[in-house]
Amino acid sequence: MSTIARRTFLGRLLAWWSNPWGQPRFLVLFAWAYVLWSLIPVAVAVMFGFNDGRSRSAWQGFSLRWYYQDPDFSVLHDPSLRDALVQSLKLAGLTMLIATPLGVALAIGLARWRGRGARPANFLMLFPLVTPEIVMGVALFLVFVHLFGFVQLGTQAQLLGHVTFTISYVVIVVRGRLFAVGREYEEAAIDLGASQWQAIRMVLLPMLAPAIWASLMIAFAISIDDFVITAFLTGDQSSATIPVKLYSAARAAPSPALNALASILLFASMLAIGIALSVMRRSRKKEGAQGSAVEDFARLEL
Amino acid sequence: MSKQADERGVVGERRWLWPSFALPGVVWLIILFITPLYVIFAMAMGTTDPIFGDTLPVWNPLRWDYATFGEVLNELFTGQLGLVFLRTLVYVVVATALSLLIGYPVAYYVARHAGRYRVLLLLLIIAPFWINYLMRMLAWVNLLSTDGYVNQILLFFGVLDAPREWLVGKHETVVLGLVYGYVPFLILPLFAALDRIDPRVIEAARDLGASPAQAFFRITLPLSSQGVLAGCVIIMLPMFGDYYTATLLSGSPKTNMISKLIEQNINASAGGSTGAALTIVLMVFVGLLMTYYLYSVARATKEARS
Amino acid sequence: MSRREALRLMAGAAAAGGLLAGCGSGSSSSSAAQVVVGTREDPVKQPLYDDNPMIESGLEPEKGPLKVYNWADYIYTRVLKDFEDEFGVEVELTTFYNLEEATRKLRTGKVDFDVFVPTAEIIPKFVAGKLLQPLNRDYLPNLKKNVWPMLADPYYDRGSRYTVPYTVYLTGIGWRTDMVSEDIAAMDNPWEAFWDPQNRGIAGLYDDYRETIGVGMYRSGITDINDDKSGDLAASRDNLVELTDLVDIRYTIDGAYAKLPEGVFGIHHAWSGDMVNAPYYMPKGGDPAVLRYVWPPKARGGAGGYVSNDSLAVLKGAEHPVLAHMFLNYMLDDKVAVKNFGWNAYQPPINALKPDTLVSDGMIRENLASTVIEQDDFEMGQTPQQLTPEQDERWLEAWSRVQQGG
Repeated sequence: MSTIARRTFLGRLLAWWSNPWGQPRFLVLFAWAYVLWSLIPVAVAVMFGFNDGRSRSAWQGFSLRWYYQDPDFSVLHDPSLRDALVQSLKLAGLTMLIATPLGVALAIGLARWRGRGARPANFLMLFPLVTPEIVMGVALFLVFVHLFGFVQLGTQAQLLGHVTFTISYVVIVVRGRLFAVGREYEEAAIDLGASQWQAIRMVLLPMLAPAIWASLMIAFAISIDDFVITAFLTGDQSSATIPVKLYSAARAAPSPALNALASILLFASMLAIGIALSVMRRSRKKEGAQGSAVEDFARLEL
Repeated sequence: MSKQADERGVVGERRWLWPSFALPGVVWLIILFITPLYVIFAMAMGTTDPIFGDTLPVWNPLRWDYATFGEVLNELFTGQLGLVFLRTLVYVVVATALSLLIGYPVAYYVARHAGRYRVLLLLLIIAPFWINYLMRMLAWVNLLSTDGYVNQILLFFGVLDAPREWLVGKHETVVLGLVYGYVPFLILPLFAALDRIDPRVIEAARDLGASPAQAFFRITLPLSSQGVLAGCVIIMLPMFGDYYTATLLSGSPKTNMISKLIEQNINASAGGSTGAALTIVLMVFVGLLMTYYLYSVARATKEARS
Repeated sequence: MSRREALRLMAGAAAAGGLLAGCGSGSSSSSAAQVVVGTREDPVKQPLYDDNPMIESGLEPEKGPLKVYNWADYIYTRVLKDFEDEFGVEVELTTFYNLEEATRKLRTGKVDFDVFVPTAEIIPKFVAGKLLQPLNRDYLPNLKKNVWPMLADPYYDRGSRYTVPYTVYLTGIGWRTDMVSEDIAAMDNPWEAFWDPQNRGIAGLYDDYRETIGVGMYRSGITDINDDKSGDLAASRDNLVELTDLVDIRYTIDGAYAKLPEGVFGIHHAWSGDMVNAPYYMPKGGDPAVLRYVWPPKARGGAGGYVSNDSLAVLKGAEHPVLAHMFLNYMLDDKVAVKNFGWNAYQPPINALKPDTLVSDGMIRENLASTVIEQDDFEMGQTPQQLTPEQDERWLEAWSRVQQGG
């Protein structure tokens, strides 16, 4: 093929297609088809958040009315939608800040514990992963009503529930990194005169940093997407989160403002991930690690 | 050397050090996880409030009332309830199998062949984690309505003669909904497992005369089996607890999963103990699954060590 | 065990014998609570309790904010804003989607709402559970003045000790003439239409066991859904199970006012207010004239169907009880009630709102004239009542069986 043809995308595509020794065509098509299938419905949903009319299925023109222009029903002006957004973000932020330290400490402890309590503790940590959310939601509600009455339904209860559900995920994420890191570096530091605490603080934790970042992200994501547990622990509407609003509105007559709301959440999450990934990348560069942060995250080998 | 160090413990390390790290998390889980589970039992064996007619938990195990639980078990093994459980199982197994069929090639491609597009693809595959599950499902409700794009496209290509009612009690819609919802959670562990396979092992097999297909089935697939198992467990567990997918995609009792029955009972005042009893049954079943997984992981680890 | 639970269990033990006392004595009693259910034939006074006193007369209203706990989309926010302007306070509206959730939250005693909107059936147990406080009618002059006599002094709460009425509604059937060819209003038993195979894929019923088990009973000609005389429940259950495969029935909660106008359903179980609302949910290009409604007790064969009302009440833990009383009185004002009706589409039992002029005044479309409710309708249909816990369990069991879809 001529070099000119090779430079254009179409030219490269044709070259690839006709090359019998190149990448397997079926797999490539399949993978990209999957990505399209996975994301197109979401793109459509985001698109209708910008719809000019009330319809969520018939495109009526581009408009930002559902975001801030419509004086009654846009996300900015409808207090219930706005509050839901704030509540979702607040809850997710607090969850990640509480669940991550607890989970990191738990992961370290479980990985190194040699005593008899280790196995039951490990089992305890795995248990929430096995438990369907509806079980947890109902159970937590009852606990806060009948036993721990000093906890208010609403943000307090939701936070406690979210953290409980999230700790185990943090442990799983950090654990992978712990096993990869091993104990040599700490041992070396101790041999060189550091105390146990100093070794942990100045050697182990920095080495766990990518996993800790990933845990923050995962805790945030789990909390912001959670609906079953949150719904059961909601006090009044001021503590309703976006998923709760989406589900209840889905059973009524949803308006494109919901699409806008969910889109805002999506953009916020993407921003959060972008920040986290770039931080991860910077810390990995300091370590001299190869490859991409995204890949390592995907491998859970942070 | 490292193995010995692990067993011996670092010199000077105090025995309470690592357990004390684990303590806050363990205490939290005991207070906010184990206790609520006990409440489920207290509800399942509870009594009825004479005024409001709902279930009150009974804390003392000696006073537990097993009548409701017995009824539920009875219904399960001899009555219709077993059918719902079976249906849930079938949905989950089929959805998981389909997810595997879809997810494995994608993970394989990204792990082994994606080249310059690897990071991009990974980002696109991870993206659904941060998009609300319900929003993704609602998008499909839109697309699958009688005059939605799916029908339009299928009609256009002649696959259908008339618009199909996707959202009226169709098993396939619910299963596809589950697949759509959970397949991203499967692809990541699969990717991790496939990525860990040293490409030189495959090259060696090819050098020794294996065809690509043989190399795949006899090397790659077995080596990725732990990841496959992990991924399947990761998506099967939440699928068992899912009740909103079927509710959104089909309003018919024909497709009700067990969690929907739990939700209906819990949300009706008189159904508290039935709902709690059903929950226990569900937990036991899911627990068996998880135990099998843990056992096979432990066995694999032991094999790897020896 | 908390003190609250202990009290409740003691009260429960006392009440166990007298669960469905048909006649109220009107005298106050102490903490032993009784669930007192009235019927039109046998009206009752709700008991007053010493530990649940009403507020004094002539008090100044509190500064607010007034906290109203209501069903979602059931009160016009403009009406709330007008109250804010008139009384110089803030109003906070909190909504719920299902009554169980609301009851649970109220029973925890940890929410501090002032005003609640109970349905007629739950009032007896809410009173017995001491969730409502008795009303001081000195603050409620509009009650006798504006409200239908039969609801100003209702059978379930003689003397309006705890509640004032809010809206009235019927439970019937809504359909579209462009999707269903049969004239359902002309049928002997309109409920039979759900079992018509021609309506396959376009039929919907409410996802509510009380209402829909009732529908199963109506189909078999049973009109009393406040009881489950032998064989009734089984008949209903079998009827409903049949529907699953016969017409691909679906259970929804928004089917009538949202999905019926959208064309997702052709025939749906419908409250009258939902149908009044439906034309506004018609998508662009749709013709609201195709919508119809029938209340089966008015059909030829006098089939089953019920008529009921929702009420307003002041919660026991209210922090602004005086303001709450004034709010109740405000909602019973002629103009306010009509303005609210214009938005939430559920008819208020206000004398000024004459049923015969609702259509001619354009508040209700002509093709939906059958959604209008008159006082005499309470004689034709049945009013639903709270079931006993044992009945409730049996109903729920039957419903579970239907929901298993086998």
